[in-house]
Amino acid sequence: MRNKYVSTSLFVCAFGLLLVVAVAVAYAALTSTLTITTSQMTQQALTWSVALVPGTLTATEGGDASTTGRVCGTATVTTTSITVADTTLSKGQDSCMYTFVVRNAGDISAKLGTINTTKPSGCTSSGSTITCGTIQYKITTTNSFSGTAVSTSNVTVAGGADKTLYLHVKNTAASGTTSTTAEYSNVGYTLVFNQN
Amino acid sequence: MKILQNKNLRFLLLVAAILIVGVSIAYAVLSTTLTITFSKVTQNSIDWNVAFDTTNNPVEGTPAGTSATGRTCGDATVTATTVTVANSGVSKPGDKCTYQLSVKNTGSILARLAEINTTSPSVGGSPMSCTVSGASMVCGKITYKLTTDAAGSTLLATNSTIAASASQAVYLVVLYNDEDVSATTQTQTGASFALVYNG
Repeated sequence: MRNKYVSTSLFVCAFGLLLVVAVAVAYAALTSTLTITTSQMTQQALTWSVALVPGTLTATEGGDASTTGRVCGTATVTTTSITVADTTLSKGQDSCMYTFVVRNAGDISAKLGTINTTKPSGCTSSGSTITCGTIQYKITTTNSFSGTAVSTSNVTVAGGADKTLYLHVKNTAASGTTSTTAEYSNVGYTLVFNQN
Repeated sequence: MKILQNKNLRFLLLVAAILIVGVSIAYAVLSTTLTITFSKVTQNSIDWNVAFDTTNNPVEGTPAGTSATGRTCGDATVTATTVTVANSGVSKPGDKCTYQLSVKNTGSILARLAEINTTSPSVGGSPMSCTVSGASMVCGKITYKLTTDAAGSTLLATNSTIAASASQAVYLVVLYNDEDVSATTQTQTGASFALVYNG
């Protein structure tokens, strides 16, 4: 009688165990685990350094042979600014051109993202060209007043490279004529370089 | 036996028997049997099959940002249950690698995304402390996330479902999350997501 009781108990336990295993297998069969792994993700050390090459710039003068009425002030360059001293352009076609360099000492290519102009009332601007009466200011990518004006689409400086640009101011009146007397102060530009 | 030979007694027994039969018939008249029958019950066979779509393998990372300096989007190798992204790098503002993956339900029942489990990467053998929110994991200057759109704006969420015979696009997005570059290099190893789908 006792043996029969033990056998019955063992059977019930075994059946229960089988039931649990079966339920677990059934559940597992309706589960999928999908894994997404990144092997190595490196955040590399980089530097951003875009600046002007400092120094004192002497202008390349243009116009007729006589320097009468024409004075090109020197340009003082720091890493972040260019300041041109008082300048006089009295005759038509008188001009001053300053060659300056934007140096990208960082690792990341830079591009000219924004050109902002500062000008007194009465002056107008279009891109990098500012016009005040017959006096015109311009920044170009080539060493000619009529060269390509800088724009946000044509100035990039690769990492570790330099970009030479040209700052012009010119009396655009016809050659030989005498300009009306006028003074324009604090005309300028802000060039914003971004990562390219 | 003598008792049964008594005529009166036999009559009484007969009356009693007739009474019992009569009550039984009356009870049967006040009884109704209701029958419920299932015409047919079918238990259909069903398939469970949720896996990555391996049609496009490897999956190339789509780079975003400016110049490629410091940015490498390694290929993602896809099997039915795993996606492994090769060594990559994002190092400057705007750098991003996006991988378009697809989870395919070729079974016959709806699949539900029950869990999104993350594993933080390690740096130099030590696990990083990352900020985890659902399918987004921010580890230092690198963010890992799973989204449902290519732009990387809508995070994949638990309880989303994939109908039978349907697919769900999942985008793995890895991006540089700082606004400045870093003077130090950091290599994170083994960041991962585990997606658990249930029937």
